[in-house]
Amino acid sequence: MRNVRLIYKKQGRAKYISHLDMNRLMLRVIKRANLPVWFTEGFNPHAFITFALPLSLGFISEYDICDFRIVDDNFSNQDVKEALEKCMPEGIEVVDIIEPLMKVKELCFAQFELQIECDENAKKTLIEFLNKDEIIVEKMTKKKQIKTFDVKPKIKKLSFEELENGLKVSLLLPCGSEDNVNPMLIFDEAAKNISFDIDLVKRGKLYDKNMQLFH
Amino acid sequence: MTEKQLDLLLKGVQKPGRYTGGEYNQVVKDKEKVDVRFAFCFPDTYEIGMSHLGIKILYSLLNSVEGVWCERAFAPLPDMEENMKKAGIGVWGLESLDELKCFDVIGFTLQYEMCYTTMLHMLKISDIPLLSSERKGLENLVVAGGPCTCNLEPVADFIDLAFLGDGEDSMIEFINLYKDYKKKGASKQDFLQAAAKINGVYIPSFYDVSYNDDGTVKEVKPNCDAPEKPQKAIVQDLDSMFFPETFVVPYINTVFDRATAEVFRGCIRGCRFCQAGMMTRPVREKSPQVVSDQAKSLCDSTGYDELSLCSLSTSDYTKIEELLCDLLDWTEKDKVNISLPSMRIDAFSPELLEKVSKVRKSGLTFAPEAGSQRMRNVINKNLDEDVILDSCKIAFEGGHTAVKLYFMLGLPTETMEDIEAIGELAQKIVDLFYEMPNKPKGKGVQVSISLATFVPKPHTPFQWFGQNELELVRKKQQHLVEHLTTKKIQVSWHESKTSLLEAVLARGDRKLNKVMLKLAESNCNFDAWDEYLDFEKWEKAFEECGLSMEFYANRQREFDEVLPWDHLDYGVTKEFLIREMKKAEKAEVTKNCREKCAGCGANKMLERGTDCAKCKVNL
Repeated sequence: MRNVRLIYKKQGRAKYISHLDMNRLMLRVIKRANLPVWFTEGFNPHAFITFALPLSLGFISEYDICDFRIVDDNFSNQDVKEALEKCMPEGIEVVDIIEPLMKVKELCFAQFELQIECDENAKKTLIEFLNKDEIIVEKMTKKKQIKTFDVKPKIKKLSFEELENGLKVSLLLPCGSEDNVNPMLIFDEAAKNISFDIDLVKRGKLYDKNMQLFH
Repeated sequence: MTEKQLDLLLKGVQKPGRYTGGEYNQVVKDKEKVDVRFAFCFPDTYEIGMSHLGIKILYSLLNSVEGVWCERAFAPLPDMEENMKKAGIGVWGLESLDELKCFDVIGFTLQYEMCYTTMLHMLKISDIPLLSSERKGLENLVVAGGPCTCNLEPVADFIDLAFLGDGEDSMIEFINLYKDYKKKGASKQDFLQAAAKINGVYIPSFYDVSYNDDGTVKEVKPNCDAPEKPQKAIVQDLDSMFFPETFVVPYINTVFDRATAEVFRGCIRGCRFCQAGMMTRPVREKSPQVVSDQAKSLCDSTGYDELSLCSLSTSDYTKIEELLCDLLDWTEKDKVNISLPSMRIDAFSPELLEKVSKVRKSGLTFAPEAGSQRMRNVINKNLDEDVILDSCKIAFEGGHTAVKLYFMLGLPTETMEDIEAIGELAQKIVDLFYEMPNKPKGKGVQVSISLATFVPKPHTPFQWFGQNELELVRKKQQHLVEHLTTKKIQVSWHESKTSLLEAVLARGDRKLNKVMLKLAESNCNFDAWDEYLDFEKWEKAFEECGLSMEFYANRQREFDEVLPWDHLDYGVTKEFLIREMKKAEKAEVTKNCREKCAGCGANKMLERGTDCAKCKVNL
């Protein structure tokens, strides 16, 4: 038995599949692909799979991670890849099957890219907003209380690309169990005073604390 | 509509997965290259529609025809409709994202009467004229199927063509004819004339209805050379019948999100209230091997790990043990859980229970339907109290601690003693649990009673019966609650106003079309849902049309009255239904079809003939 790591992309209409639904989807993909995966041995046996990082509903991603175990050693990574590719629904694309070298808890940063549609004026104010030294945002705690904090120090990298009818914003944000920042925290705050539409949110590559690609 | 437009529409909408399509196994064809586009509409939410086996069968069936592309459409909930209204976009097919207006045929499956308003609302917000007479061309032909077409009269003015009975054969004939006529550039009228000859097709506009002074139907007559009595279609041989190799697999959680294998059609039981049992006769079974192979193909191609066997009464399947053996051969290895809904209590053998619970324990539900033995005889639910208690005992011994019981209230000849008997039966089950020396340790028992208000349905022996008035229904519900003495028994019931409206629509006539039109104008929608039903709007619409609900729902009808659906032939004869009603009044039971043929007349629909001596005499 060995651990394998599926790296996949989620695009198009598939972005409307919630994290909970992704779990069910992946179990069914694995069953369709007839993969020799390890099943839990409880009262309700099911294929054992874990996702490294949940993805918000409506985001696309180009580097999502799902881990499971293969019990048949004759099954190579290439075999797994080919079997899964045949059974993936529209919008979910297998990037690679690898042997996991990092642990999920080593995950530290996620790259985000937002495509924003707005007029020139809003573009300017939005850039100013993001460039401020302090960005106070509101977050709902688990106890349903609103907590405010400065998110700016958590934004590790920030860059802009001006588009004809808007702006492309790239950010590197903390992710994982230690600290996690959803880009919508920042942009919901911005939307209180600036008028813009978010056309697309893409989560890109994932990294560890040394900015090594998560693999 | 483009995906970008869809993105904008979905902003802030609950469960966007309902509206996006793109699921695994959906069928996509090149719209430039297909001849006929069919929108299969389920007039309720995605979650309910995608749980329905019929839509899965017919979706695959239509898409198996070359040149035909069938897509799915469901009703949008108010939050989505709001966004659609703002954007000026109507209901769309999930596969292409094209609006209903772009489709040649718009087909609705009518599973329950309360979805009629939703059907009209879907057309309305899609900018399609509601009345059949206002849709002049062959495009946007509105067709309907499902159990409700057995009395489609309340919505007859809106529907161009209806399918009666099994749709597998008639829909293929229909779609091929449509393809030809569309190619020829034929008129809608010419097409309907030709389609009226298809077995199992009913064209409402080809029949004129006249009324007596008291509002009852005088006569229904064809106004052209359409058949005098359109007959429902039946599939003769279930083994060779089309069955999908795969299902579309939803992303979001639906009500029944699992593989479903049909084991037989029809029912041998003859419960007198049951419309499905009467309308789907005669009984036709699938061979165990065919069921098992089809189920395996479904599980393999969808990735489902739950398989449900589907029929009106799965324990009456003659080869149930053999089937379970065939299934367990592969389901255990593939870790697929088998669930058996519609199991009759008295066939629940310990061996069967053992086999099913080997895979996974699911909930336990029984439907005694009535509390007293007398009442069960009246409805011909041939089930003794001993059998119910024995089954519960087996279930308790098997580790179950929760039992759900379904009952009906407001049945013909019912008295308050019959209502009390419901509580007494539940109490006996509770007592039984505590008397068991080997009862599951550390657990209490929970008996849930679910009460439905009886709705008399067309084509059943109770079709003449006047439904209990709302006030009496409430009195009976209250009486039962007052009669209970333990918290181990919980009672719940459906909104009785809904049952009243169901009774009105189920046995309504064409005069109701103007009520339906008014309801559509006042945006009634999702009336099957208690939270969306606006009863006042219904009352107002009836008042404005000068019609009374009581006339349709609560009036006791005479045997010699012409019923609005008498011109539709569903196999069982009126003589049989009258015979059964008279026996019901005397609390006399009728044996099930295997024990003794009751001569209902449905067997004459079988091409292979019947093996029943009595039927041969009747033919």
